[in-house]
Amino acid sequence: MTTAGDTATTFEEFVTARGPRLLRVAWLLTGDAHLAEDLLQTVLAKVWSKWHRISTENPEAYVRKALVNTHMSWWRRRWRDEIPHEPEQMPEVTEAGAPFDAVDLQQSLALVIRRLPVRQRAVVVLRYFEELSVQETAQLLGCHSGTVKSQAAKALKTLRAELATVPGVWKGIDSRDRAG
Amino acid sequence: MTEPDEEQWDETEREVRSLLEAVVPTPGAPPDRMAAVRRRVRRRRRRNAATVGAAVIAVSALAFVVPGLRAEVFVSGETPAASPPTTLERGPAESVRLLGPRKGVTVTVPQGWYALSVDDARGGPVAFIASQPLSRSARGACVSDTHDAVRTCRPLSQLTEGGELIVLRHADKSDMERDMASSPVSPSVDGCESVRSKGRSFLWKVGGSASVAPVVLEVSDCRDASVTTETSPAASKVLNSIAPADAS
Repeated sequence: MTTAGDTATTFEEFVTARGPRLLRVAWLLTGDAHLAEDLLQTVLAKVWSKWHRISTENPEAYVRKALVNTHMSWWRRRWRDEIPHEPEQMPEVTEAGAPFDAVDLQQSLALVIRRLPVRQRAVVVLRYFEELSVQETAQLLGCHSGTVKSQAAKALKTLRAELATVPGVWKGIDSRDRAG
Repeated sequence: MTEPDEEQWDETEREVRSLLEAVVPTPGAPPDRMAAVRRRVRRRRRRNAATVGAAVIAVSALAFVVPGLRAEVFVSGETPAASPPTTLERGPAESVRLLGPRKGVTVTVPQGWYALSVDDARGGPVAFIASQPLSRSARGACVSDTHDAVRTCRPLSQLTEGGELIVLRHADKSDMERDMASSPVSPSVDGCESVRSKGRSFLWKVGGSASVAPVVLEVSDCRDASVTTETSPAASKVLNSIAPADAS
């Protein structure tokens, strides 16, 4: 039988081990480092009280789902009206072959990600960053597989269009447009 | 969709994966993340406690305004006025009857304890016997989740220090067919956690003979964390007082 101390240690070990990856997921959901830490801490606080139950199953999957759901609820409650403006700080198109700063690329990606509808954003995170299957993504989001596919197609189309002008982002898909 | 389209699509997906893995930053964890999480947990608990307190005050106030609601909360020894139909009957000498589809049982309520019953979604009775006052679920009925009566019915929000809650319901047919030697239904009781306590569930067989089938009850025993004994004297008294009774 585990004691409260054991449970706390296990939870802390989980946070230490998986925190960096979960924080990256949160960053991709929010597009902001501070919001990402806030989101992760919010979810960890929710999860802690249930840790003795979920630790024996698949805690990372549980936390991942909580991240997505909590972010969606934030979006519904607080940021419904917040739509990123045309990015004045969006890096200008650079000449072909010119070096492109990784930080600029991160900022560009963050801006594009934040412009995606929240469900498309979740699909991108789960399908292409967390490498979940269509079925797993659908199950986590509580929707049909077809919805995941269509949301993914729309999100990829947006990502491709928005980031097409950034050199070095796309290797060989400059003008293809499958979803159209 | 043509095959080249599929190939282009797969390539796009691959490149998006590579892009995200390469571009998404790895922010450093703040050194006090765990401390921050602990602070949030404390805040959540305080907030929840305040919400529950406000709800209790609101319900109490409403009970005064709407006389019919006063019957929703009643204590052992009192007769609830105009209470909704229930299958738990209060008998003389602090005993109650839990009626099943064919057979029922009588249970003795310890002096100073409280009893309450609700009907679950299957129309079956669930009896709560506790060392503190109980209140009927706001929703009026429990879902038919066999092992989660406490969680789904929520007769109280939190056991007081040293408090104890015993939940009785007739076992499912599937439970009754199981080997009675394996008495624990589940090693831990989620419902007990919902009232912030620890507990266990087990099957309890009453009566029965070669010609008469026993009555089998599912019993959940939730105890405040400060109760260290496996089964308290009061709970033992309750369990040992269960006796077959006619359902009629």
